[in-house]
Amino acid sequence: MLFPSFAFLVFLPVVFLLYWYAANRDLRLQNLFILLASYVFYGWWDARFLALLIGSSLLDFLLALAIDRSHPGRRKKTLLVLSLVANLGVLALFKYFNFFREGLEGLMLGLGMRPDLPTLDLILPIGISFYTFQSLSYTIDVYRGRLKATPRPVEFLAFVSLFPQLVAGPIERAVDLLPQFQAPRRFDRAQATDGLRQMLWGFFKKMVIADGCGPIVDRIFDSPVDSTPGLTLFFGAFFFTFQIYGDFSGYSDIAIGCARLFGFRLSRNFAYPYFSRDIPEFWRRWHISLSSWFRDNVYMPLGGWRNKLGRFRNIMITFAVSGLWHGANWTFVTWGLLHGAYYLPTILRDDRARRDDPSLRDLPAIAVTFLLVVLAWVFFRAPGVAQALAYLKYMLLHAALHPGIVLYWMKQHVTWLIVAMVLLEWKSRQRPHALALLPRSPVFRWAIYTFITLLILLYMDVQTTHEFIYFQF
Amino acid sequence: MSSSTSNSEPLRLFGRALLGAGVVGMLLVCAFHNGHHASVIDYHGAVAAKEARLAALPSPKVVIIGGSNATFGMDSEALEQALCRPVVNMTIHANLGVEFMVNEVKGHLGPDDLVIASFEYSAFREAIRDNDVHVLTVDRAPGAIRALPWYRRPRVIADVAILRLQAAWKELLGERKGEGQERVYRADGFNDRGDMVAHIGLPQRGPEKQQPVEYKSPVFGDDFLPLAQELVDSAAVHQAQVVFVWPCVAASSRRPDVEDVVARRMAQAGHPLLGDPSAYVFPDTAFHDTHYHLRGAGRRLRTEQLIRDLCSNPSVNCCLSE
Repeated sequence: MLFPSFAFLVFLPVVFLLYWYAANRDLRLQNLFILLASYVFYGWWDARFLALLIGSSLLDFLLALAIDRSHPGRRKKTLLVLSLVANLGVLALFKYFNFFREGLEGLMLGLGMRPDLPTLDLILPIGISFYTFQSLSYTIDVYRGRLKATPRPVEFLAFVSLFPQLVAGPIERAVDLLPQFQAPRRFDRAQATDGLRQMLWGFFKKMVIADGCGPIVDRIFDSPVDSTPGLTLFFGAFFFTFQIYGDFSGYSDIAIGCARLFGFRLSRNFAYPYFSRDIPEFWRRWHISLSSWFRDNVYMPLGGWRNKLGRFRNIMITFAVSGLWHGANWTFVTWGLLHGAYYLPTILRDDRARRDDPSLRDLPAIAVTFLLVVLAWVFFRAPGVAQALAYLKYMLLHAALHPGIVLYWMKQHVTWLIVAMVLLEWKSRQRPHALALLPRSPVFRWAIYTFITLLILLYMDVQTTHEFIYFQF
Repeated sequence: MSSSTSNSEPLRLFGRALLGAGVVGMLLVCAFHNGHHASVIDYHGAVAAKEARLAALPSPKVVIIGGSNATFGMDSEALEQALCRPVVNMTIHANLGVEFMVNEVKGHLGPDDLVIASFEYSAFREAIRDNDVHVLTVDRAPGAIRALPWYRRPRVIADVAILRLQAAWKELLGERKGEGQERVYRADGFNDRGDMVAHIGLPQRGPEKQQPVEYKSPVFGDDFLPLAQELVDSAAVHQAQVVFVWPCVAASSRRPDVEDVVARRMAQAGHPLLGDPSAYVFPDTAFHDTHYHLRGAGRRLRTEQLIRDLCSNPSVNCCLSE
């Protein structure tokens, strides 16, 4: 089920009322209810993959119990490895089988062999990368002793499949989210009201900004690069920068806001990443739940920052794996490596991570970081590395061609809507979301809600279903 | 352990959200009645005239259902003379789906009515459609909403209202000036019987301006046969008859393997398609903008072939003397 869909418009209020008024007598009943609602939400897309979700969750549930009961040693480690192999194996099968097959085939051809390797034509189960990582984080946390394994399967299954964040995150740590299924949840009006506001802002970013940029981006990226003005190519990358931001951060805002309606606190996933002053800061603000997952489960086990040389290597590996997580294509790996390369010089600088909020004084640094990020997104969006390189080449070579085209792109409604979004988010950059900073007067607040809703209605695309970009990951 | 919520806070929040939804609803009601249409192209508006003719025609009559292969490629007047019954051609767009097409006609059948069902190959694969063609149709012909299942109606109405609101906004900004009516795809491009005739006599288009038929697998989906049976059963109750016929298709888009699957599955279900599919394959030059849309000469040939097939079928009452 998509958030911006008629089905969700009916689903949400029904589940909300039943959750607080019919299933609220007992915590276990409430957990069971949210689990069933989550399965309906997921099964709406394709019920066949529910079995995979339930199967992989149950396996981790049982393995975590066994890990918890084992003494430190080989058996415990074997159980963890079993969990890793099972989860990553499913992921590899559905997502990476053909990618690795092609790589192996190329290698064998290079060695003069004639490979005849099988291909798999599998549909990628929606959200598999997200729920697999979330489930994995549980067994890892239990293995490391950060968490006791829960003996209640409903609790754990509900943790893995909680519908607001099931298909595109935020990827929650078991230590953060699982305890929320174990303690009574009480309705908090302030939290729920702000959750609704956050959802409204998320819908604006998804339905107005991301879906508004989408067709323009498709048109520009599908056009022949050698005959397209460089500035148009730049605007293509610029619009994609906001498409992916609107799409993914919009989804996260809807997910977090929606979870708040049910008394859950999800972790923050985006903290105005395009206001970052350098690349490390960008990665502390973009897809925070994934970045921290990779930091804790890939970068740190690799050795983290023990010495500079090791740190270089570990950063590049982490970024490459993070790129690969996004999809079975060299474009994503290149995108990851490029960010890794952006990151490396900041290690030499060796200054402390910036924790303060950006101000107008930081605009030059913000602009440079933003430009680097825009260039990297070209690899993310292009169908292949060669096409991305050609895109960047002609963007520079044809930069002076038809300068007047800037006016055309500036006149697009979505350009001004992006400007409005950026200004509002700048104003709210110390808050968790842009609508958290609203006037106290209810009249003004309602006027703003109505205005944003009106913008959504005026610019939404009712004739095309736009899935979230990150659903494919 | 309890996580009880003894107060009415959630209900109050729900009420406030409902109030917000009410404001949006009011806005959409106003948009629905703002006088602008979702699209300046009124092609789908022809559905209203077709439905009016269907309701007005007494039995026995001939009702043509299906996709635009029959809109562009059937001569209802010739069929009327051959079958000695008035004809209404209900076809307009394959994307309305078989479900819509069946719902639209099944309540209007009477004794000795003949339903000619001419579906594109995509209809056998995907009989139930949920897309913007419904929205554009309801925008121009609101009565068409009755042919949709009840649970899809609210969304279609909301979509019509949103598109009308967006149309008013574009009008206000002066952005609709460039939009104009199509030469062919317009409501007044149809004749009284419901055939598209605006394309007849237009010069031939080059192959680059013709859209080939797109095939996907599986060829035959799960939804088609239940709907076909529903149509046949509904016709039988009213002593009417249904014949399934082959769509016309351009030679370069022909797929004999697909024809075989369709022929076999339909025959197995007791609904064989009439005639030989190869008789409905015409040269690419006989087509207008897609490999389903016949031009004037092809339309005549296809109708003649259809009449031959219908009249050679003993169960069809035909008054044409060979």
